[in-house]
Amino acid sequence: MKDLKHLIYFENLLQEANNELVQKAIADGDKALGYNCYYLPEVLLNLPGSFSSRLRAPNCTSPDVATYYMTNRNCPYVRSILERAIEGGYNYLNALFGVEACSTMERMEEHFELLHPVENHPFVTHIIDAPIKGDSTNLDYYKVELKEILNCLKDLGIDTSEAAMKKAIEDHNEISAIMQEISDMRKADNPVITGYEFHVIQLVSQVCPHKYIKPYLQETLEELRKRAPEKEFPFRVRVVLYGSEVDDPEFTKLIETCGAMVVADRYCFGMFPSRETIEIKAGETAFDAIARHYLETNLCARFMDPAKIDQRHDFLENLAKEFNADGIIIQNMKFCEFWSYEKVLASHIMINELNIPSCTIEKEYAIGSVGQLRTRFQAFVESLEIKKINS
Amino acid sequence: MKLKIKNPLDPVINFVDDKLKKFDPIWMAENGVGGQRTRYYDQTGIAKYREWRGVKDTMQAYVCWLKNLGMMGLMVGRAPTNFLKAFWEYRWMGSYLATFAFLDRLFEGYRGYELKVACMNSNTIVHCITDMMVNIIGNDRRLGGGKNTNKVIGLDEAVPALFIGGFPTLTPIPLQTLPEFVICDIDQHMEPFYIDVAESFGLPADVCSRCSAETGVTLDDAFPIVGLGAISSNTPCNASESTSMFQRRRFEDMGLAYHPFMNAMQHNTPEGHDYTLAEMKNAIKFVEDTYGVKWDMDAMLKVAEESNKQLEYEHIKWDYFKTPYSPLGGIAETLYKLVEFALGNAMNPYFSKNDKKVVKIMEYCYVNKIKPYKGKTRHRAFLWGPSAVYYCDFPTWTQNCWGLAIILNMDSTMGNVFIDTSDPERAMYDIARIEEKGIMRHHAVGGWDNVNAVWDWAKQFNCDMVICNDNVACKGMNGIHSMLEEEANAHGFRFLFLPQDLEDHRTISRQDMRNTINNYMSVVLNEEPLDPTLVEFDDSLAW
Repeated sequence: MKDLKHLIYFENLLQEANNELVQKAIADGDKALGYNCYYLPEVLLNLPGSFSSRLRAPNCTSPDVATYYMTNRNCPYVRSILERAIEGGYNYLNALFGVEACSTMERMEEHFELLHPVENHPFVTHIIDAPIKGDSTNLDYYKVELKEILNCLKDLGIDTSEAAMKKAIEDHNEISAIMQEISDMRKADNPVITGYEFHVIQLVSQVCPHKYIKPYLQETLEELRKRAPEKEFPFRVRVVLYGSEVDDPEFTKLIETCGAMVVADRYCFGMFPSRETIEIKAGETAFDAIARHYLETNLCARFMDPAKIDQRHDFLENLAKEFNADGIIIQNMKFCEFWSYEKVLASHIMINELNIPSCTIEKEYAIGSVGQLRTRFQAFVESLEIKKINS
Repeated sequence: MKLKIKNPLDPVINFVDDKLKKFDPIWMAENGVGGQRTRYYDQTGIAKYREWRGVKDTMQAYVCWLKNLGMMGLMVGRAPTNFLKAFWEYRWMGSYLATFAFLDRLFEGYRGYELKVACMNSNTIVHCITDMMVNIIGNDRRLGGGKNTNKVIGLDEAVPALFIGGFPTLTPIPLQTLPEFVICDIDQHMEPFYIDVAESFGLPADVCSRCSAETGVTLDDAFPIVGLGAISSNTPCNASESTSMFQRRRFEDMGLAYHPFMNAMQHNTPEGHDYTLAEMKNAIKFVEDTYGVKWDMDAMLKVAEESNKQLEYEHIKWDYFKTPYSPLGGIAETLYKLVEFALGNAMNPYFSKNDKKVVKIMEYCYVNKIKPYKGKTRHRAFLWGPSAVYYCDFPTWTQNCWGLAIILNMDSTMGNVFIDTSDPERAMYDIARIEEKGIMRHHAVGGWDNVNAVWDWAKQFNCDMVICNDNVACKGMNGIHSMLEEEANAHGFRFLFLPQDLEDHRTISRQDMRNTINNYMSVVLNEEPLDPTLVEFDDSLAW
């Protein structure tokens, strides 16, 4: 396939959090609002005069100082974020909005208050508690917690009115429509986009100011609409990538170099969930709609009520069917307690109850042990091929 | 006050004590001819003979042992068939035979009043646990059930069952306690089996071993089946939440209705309290629907009053802990408080009856300036962090070996909320706050301020040292490792981390844990042990 016009540009934007589009928005006077987790609605951080910046720590391979603070027995993603903060990589931020989604994340975010690593003014940190069930009691609590975020935004001089929120929802829905169309292209038998390319595009949509990245995304969509696929499907099998945090497209590339195209991505920073259309139902305020939407679509492994647990497994099953996947790669970040458990449960359900071939792996934040992972993926690809031949 | 009555036999007893003192391990250590470890078979926790503590104290300890034996006999007598079947059905049941060795180890080296209160507390603990075992084993459907099978409600072991007090016809039981929570204290070799079950199913070895063991019990189908429903929880932490996913499937397989009861993770805010209260009301509704019973506020308030009474006693004890004259401390305090809070739930009045007597003895010791452990305490330590102190009788060992008294434990501060019984709605709110501040949760979860509170606690109790249980798999506590060290330095406390892996002694053994203290005491503080036989010994085969 012909190279995508902006792919290299997008790849460069992912080389650091404070990329050129971020700098451009800051120069406009927009407030930069950092966050880590889907529990914190991105749309609330994209109200007029502000932009969201989902935090990554690209190329962080030795988080030594963060390891001093948090031990080496903790999630490498959060350690890398803390390390990058201490290095000064987030000095452009005006706020970090954290979530007690897991205790490790919460501890990392607390260090932003304890160590004051971000040298910027104003800079505020606020951590919300996050609901663990999807019922109305938990939705009410979620709203209460999100209102605290609105209070912080107001203090930063950001307009949080109903009109501003509706505008942010519109903006979210526009960017989501672009991403949905691009994502759906992966359903084709011979897609015009690879999993790696999609991963890069998905990431830039989350780490760059929407007003500056949207035109590039729109142009890329136009380009993809006209793009001719390879003569033959260039991969041996199709897989869904499921699990915890993945913000390094090199990981997707690694899977694809082993012959498995990543046709759908259900992980933190992935498409599912992130780019669903937010609908304001009759009688709802924009804020209510945002809270409901993010609780309904959230598929985090920390949910405890049966309905939400079943929702994420049903969703995964449907994803595999919809994208015509041959199997599922279930991964968890090393030391991620929630996804360690979910990996075990999901693989049991997929393999033994739904008869969907699955492979489980544990990974570091920065891709290491590539050889071992490659061996695992190659073996999985072979097993899927054999299964296809036998059927 | 006067407790002591002159005994006409005292001269005879003193004479016998003097003649037999060479068998007393404390005397042996003082005179360089042995010590506590001398009476044990190598590598084991099996003693060749009972500890000689002098006539009175040996009798005291022996009578306590007999009482415990009696309660256990009574327990089996209440449901003999079920108990017999349980030994065949459950792998973990056999480990309870090690209870006597466990209890004996807990209080070795105790004499006089500290032994007396330890025995009283020990009897109360056994009374409570045997009661619970009858409720579980005696009603277990796998074993043929019992008359109250449908009147028992299972709760996650970390959920304070206080709110079930509003259902006087139901008996709450902590689901994981028998196969996992209590067993890990009694027999260090039991839970590694269940951990291996979970790991062979694919669970990584870096998750909390307590939750891993719970998962193993679930996968191995080793839970007793009682009641009509089960309530799980996010107490205390992320791993507990995750284990619930597996337990839910098992409970549903068993035909039990399932309800997760959430507590605010950030539990210092009014919004968090409101959320927990709403969740508690949802849990109450679940119980009503599942069991067809109505919530009884009057019954709840009675239980709340008992909870207040127990907390009042606790505060009185705390005042004595601040002095050098408290005969209650170490494991006698920690384990008792844990059982009282987690298993008693203010529904067992036996605890406050016992507390009343214990407080009298504490007062007596304070008035008469009687120092425990023959006044050999050199340091007063606050033990912080989720604990692994029981299976290795750690506080007893620190006292006997280094004169390091564990004054209070983090989990002993839980549930420190008086319930306003004058207003039912306010009472419910206060009960919700107690729910939030449960086991391993009050200070380990909910933000840095909760963890950092240790220095105030330690100062309040006149401690010069803080020992932080460093559960190598506890992600939350690992996350503030160095901030704790820096704060210890700023507050001027002697501070050390005590690495441990809760229920998996294969990762960090008892001796590894002891060596952490040994190294600190000998290298950093340059001190000599009180009992050299306890410094380094092999108890790897001990239960």
